[in-house]
This record gives sequence, C-alpha cells and structure tokens, in this order.
Amino acid sequence: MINFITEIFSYSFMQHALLGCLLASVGCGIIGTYVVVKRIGFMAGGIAHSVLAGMGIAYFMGASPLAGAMISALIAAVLIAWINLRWRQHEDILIAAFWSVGMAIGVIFISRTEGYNIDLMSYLFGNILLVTTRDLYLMLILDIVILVLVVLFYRQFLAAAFDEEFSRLRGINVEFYYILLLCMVALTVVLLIQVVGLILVLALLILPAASAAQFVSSIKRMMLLSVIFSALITATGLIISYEPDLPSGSTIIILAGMFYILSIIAQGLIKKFRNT
Amino acid sequence: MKAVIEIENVNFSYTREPVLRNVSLSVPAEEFLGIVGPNAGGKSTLIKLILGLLQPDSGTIRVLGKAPVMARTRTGYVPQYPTFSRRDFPINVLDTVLMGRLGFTSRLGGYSKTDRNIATGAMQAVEILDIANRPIGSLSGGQLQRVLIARALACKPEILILDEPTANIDMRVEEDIFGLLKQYNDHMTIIVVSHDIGFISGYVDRVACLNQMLVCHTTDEISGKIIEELYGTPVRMIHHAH
Repeated sequence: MINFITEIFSYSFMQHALLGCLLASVGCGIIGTYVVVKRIGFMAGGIAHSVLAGMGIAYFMGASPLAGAMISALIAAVLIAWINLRWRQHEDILIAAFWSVGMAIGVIFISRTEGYNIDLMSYLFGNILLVTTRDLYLMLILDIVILVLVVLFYRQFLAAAFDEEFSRLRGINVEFYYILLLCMVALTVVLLIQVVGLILVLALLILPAASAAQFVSSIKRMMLLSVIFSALITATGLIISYEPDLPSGSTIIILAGMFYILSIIAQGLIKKFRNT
Repeated sequence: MKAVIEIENVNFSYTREPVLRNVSLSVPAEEFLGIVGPNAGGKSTLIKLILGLLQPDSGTIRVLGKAPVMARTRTGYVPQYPTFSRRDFPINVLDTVLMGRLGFTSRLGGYSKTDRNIATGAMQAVEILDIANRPIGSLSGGQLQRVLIARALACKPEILILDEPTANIDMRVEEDIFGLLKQYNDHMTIIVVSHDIGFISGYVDRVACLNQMLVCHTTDEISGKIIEELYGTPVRMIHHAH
C-alpha cells in the first residue's frame, strides 16, 4: 500500500494534484463551515452553477476560463446578496434563476466558440489531474485572501451568522459582512472547481463541514476539523481513483457522502456510549 | 427626572393594518417599566422601534436624546426566547456573552482582557459562570435565558430592554430573574415586555398597557377592570400581597 502511494506520487502531475487538493481543502473547510452554520448551501450552489456563464464567455473571447469563473462568481455573489437583502422572501426563486440562467449562458457561448470543442466535462466535473503550476499559485493566493479576511473579521462573521438582529444592535454592518461572506463563498467555489467541477462543488463545500459539526461545538474547531476532513477526503479520493482510472472529482464526492453518513453514525454511537 | 426614552405620537404599520396608533410614552431614567398587552398588540414592535430596528410611519422617538439608531450601543437587548432558534449553532456560553462587547472593542482581531473581565462579571451576576464552556445547545431554557441576559449586561447598557424574558421558564427561575433585574434597576433603566401582568406588577414601577394604543398605569392602579379593558374579556385575577 505504502509502496503504491509513494509510487503514484513520484509523478509530478500527481504531486500537483495532491497539492491542489490540499490547497482547496483550506478554503473549503473554512468557508464550508460558514455555509453550513448559516444554512446558505443552496445559495452557494447558485453561485457555483452561474460560474459557467463566466467560463463560457471567457472561453469564447479566448481568455482564461478560470479568470472568467472568478469574475462571474463574484458578480453572482454580489447580485444574489444585494437582491436577496432587498426582496428576502423570493430567495428560492432568485437562486433558481441564477443557477440555470448562468449555466444556459455558459452553454450558449461554448457552443458558439470556434475551433475544437473543449472538454466541457472537465469544467462541469473537474479534473484535478490537469491542474497547472499557475493554477496552484492562484489557489494559494485565494486561500491567503480567505484566511486573512476570516482572521481579521472572525468575531463579526460569527456574530452576524449567530444572531443578525443582535449584531445590528451592536453596530455591526450585517449587510456588508453578508456580501463579503458570499464573495468568499464565490472565491472558494472557484478554488474547488479545479478539484471537483462546478456541478459537484456544493457537496464538497458542505459535507466535510457538516461532518465536522457532528463532533465539535465551536466555529474555530469546526473550521479546523473540516479542513482536515476535506484534505483527507480529497487526497483519499485522488489515490483511489488513480489505479482503476475513475473520474477523480466524482470519486471524491462519493467519498464525501460516505464520510458524512459515517460521521452521523459515529456521533450517534458516541452519544449512546456516553449515556450508558 | 430626565427622560431617557421619549416617544411622541408614533404610528406604525407593517402592511395596511395599523399596529401602533398614536403612541406616546416618556420613560424617566432608572424606571422599571413593564409593557403588557395581548398577542399582536404591538409590544415587540414598540421595542423594535425603540431599538431603531424599525422606523415609525409618523411621530418621533428619541433615546438618550438621540435617534434610536445612534443610541443602540448604549442599550442592551434580550430577544424573545422562542424566536431565538439557533440552538444548534456551534458556540459556547462564554463566546455568546462576549458578543455583548462588540461595538466597544477593537474592530479587528480578538477580545481584550477588559472584555473578558466584563463578560465574566456578567456571567457571575446571572450565575452561569460554571457553565461558561458548555455549548448553548446543551442548556435548559432557563439557562439559555440567563445567557441572553448576560450577553445584554456585557454591553454595560444604560437601558436594558427584555422581550418576554420569562416565557417558557418555570416560576422559580422567573422570580430569580426579576429579583436580579430589580438589583440592576438602581443604575439602569429597565423595560420588560410581558404577558403576565399579575406577576410583573410586584416588581415594576409602572405598567404600560399596549393594544395598538398605549395607556400607562402606576402599579397600584392595576385592577381587574383595566385588564378587562385591555384584553377585551373578563379575566380572573389573584391578588397577591407583597
């Protein structure tokens, strides 16, 4: 087993892929925690899917799809946050609209792009094996941005997520932090598209954090544990998918699902054990 | 005595139906005021107007001589317990109470030693120091209510506003909490919203009866007649001597 692992990581593309997984796990664990406790999973899903619009347009114009993804993710985040703050009751409609209209725009632009047909599947389902050194640097920068923001404004994010009304009374600009949080979700989505693609992003954003929530009762620990969980899940998925040549993104997501179920069972057992 | 809260001719409605009609109220410093009234009578709405969370359709509200939004950080607020539904949130008692210090501490980074001392003091006052590290999900209703009061006390407020602080908790705890509030009353203006007029009349200086319109009574005036007018149906009342 050890031999097998050292052997597959002797290839530089596998080293890059592993590094990509670890870098993605940092943002994923931290922001996933906020997404879970603030229950904005489907909002994150809406942002993720609308990213295809930016990727399609960038590809059509011959620009970098990842740059397009970043721009459209941020635009979607700010728009969803802004519209939602004004007309809160229509949250579900708003998300559905961004979700599918974004994808439709992307598909139209991709279909209009001259030249050989790009591998649409790798945008949709990710391909960590194709990650380049430049992508890795970009991921590192995104991680640093997320980490710095969360460390600086930890208390404000915590208070706004926990009790909006009280935070407002304490002079916190709840709307500002809400928009900032959705922008960080957007950056994390871009980070994770490399690993699992935009369709599967939602699961990787939520499941490690939801698993961590079973075992801890503080946001800080939940973040730390979900970073560890998501690193464990993505790295294991990568290794498992290698030999039978399975799609790495999908393997990772199935593992994340199984991990979540196991953590619920484990939590139940711990409770039972404590009570007896 | 100087009024800390001045409300003049305030009207408010969420939709077309008026919730508050021509409400005027002046609260002097260090008063213990009870607000009672039927459900949907506008009690929580009046509180939210005083806190600046809602804006009146007409009329003026001044808190500590300023617009409500400007006076917010000098006011402590304990929300209604049933609406506080985030019990599954991963946070412990101490971190919840520390949130009361937001708005006073540095904008970036962590809490200072002073903040922690103030939070500890607030927890001591409501006797929850021993559960400081417990997750809030594991607390009883009464304990959580004390945590929310400690969080408001950690603001070091000049005015403390509590919305139904004793709903869903048993009588003994209710007496403890009101006894505690009575102690704080000598340097703090306190407003308590309650549905239980009989109980709070033993503690408060004055009762404001609110059912769209507001009428104030000193506590010795409270009689079955007034309650009947307020709720629209005859009520049975038990006189208890204090």
